[in-house]
Amino acid sequence: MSWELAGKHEVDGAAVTDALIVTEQLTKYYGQNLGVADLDLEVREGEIFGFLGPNGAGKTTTIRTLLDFIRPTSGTASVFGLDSHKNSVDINRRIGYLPGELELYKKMTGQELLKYFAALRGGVNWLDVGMLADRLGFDMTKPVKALSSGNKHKLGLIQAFMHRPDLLILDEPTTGLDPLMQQEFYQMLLEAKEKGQTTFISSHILPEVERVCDRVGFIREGRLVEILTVADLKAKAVHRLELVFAANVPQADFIDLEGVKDVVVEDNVVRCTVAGGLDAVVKAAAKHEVVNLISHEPNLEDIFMAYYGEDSNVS
Amino acid sequence: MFLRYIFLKNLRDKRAAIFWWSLSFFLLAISVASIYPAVAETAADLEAYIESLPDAFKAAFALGDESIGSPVGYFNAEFFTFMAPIMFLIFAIGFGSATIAGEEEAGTLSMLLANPVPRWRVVIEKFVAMALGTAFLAVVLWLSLVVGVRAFDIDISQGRLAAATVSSALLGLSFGTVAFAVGAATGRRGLAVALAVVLTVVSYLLGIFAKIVESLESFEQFSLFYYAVDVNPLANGLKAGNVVVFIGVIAVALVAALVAFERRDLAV
Repeated sequence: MSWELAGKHEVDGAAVTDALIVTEQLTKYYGQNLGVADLDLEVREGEIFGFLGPNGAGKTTTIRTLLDFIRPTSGTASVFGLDSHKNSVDINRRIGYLPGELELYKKMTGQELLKYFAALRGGVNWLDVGMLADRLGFDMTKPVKALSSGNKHKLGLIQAFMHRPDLLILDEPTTGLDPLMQQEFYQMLLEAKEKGQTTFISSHILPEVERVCDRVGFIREGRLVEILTVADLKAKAVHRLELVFAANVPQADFIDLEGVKDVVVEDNVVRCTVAGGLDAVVKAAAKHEVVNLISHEPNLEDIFMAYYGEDSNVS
Repeated sequence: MFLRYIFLKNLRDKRAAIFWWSLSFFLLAISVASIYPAVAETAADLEAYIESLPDAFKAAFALGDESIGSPVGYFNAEFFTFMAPIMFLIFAIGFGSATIAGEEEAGTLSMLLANPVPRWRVVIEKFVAMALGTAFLAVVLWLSLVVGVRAFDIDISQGRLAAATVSSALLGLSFGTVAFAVGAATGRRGLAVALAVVLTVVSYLLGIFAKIVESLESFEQFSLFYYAVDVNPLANGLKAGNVVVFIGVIAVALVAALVAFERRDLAV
């Protein structure tokens, strides 16, 4: 299966009518360097879509194209059914945006910055701003340059949410947030979804995407690898297991099990990777006395490797 | 209210700088005026000294027809042929290069453009901020000069002081808009400053060589300094033809900024 086919197949199978973001054969080169290639992506109204890939995969390129900061080399991108370039002002009016590398006017206080952006947007209810600031525990009186990275990030979130946008585009949104604030942020995303807002969130952290997203698109080296629902993703997820037994166990009990790979047996310890459900391996282990079972969170590379094997590098 | 518009926010950001520039202009204007009475007394000696200077030197400092003992000759030699244009040039080129390219390098420009604001509006408002800042300093300078000449009882027309001030400000704003356009087209502040300064120096040297070297005489009209300095607005007032030249240069640079900024990718 080629990478292009993987992407196209998903788009062909999806309903186009309720699509909020549509890219068709979107390609962006920076001189000789590839940003994204032949990207066919579709984000549906009301969903939380996770855009997952390693750093430098083309996530930010895609997002910056949607916001008309950069223009496609070829192909098109549309948001709300409007062309990302020709109708950028109308699109941006309905988008809340948080960049991956947030830079804000250092001399302004949070309040001044939010007033400025609210004035440029128009129609922002200042009560919403106050509520968001309270919720995130953000002090609006401090100048931006005096804010910690976490607090700067809160300011970024407030300006993205304050005008109740139809579409939130959030590039690596939890970077720099402490765990408590991450919880609050996930809660905000789910509430936004309840209100009918759509979210497009990029990340390189799989568990983050898994917990809030409805669907996940994988991008790697500028190309869309696959789009999956989170349910499918979990079914396919690769776990690295470490089983510790009371006594030595024979290797034969663990190889040739469904979905189990890379089996290493060292005396009473078995290490392996498991794609999909853990049922087979757990049942095999149950024949012996299990002392400990450690399941490592699957990471992105493991998933890529599981899908596409060792030669998953795209040239 | 300063946070309602991009240009007002820009001027607000520059408020400290504009204050110090205003103070500098004021002190400079008062100092220049305060020295004049002493210069006038020794005018004859100075005349003889200047007469002995090489022509190139006289050309460079526009020591033209008027005696340095006369108010017009003095203010030209001391202020309007060099210091005033240089100050407006530094201010405007600094402002023009920082306002788009500087903001882009700082990473805040994309946050600004994530708002429902068309790019042309950003260009226009930022140009307006630069133009208003320059105009404000011109008014401060003119008022300071008026205070200075009154305080030291110097016989020079307020209107002609305004003409000379406006000429210097327009010269500064012209090259400032060039820096602005280069910054809008490339997003590179250093390049914007460098190109504008190089153009300024070339323009300045062209004006001087046109005066010294006879075969280059017809080139003087290609130097913007000619329209601000050599036409001697302090003696002759502001001529529409000269003002139109500056407005033309500013308009061309502004249109170039609009077109280039509309078309290109923003830097990361």
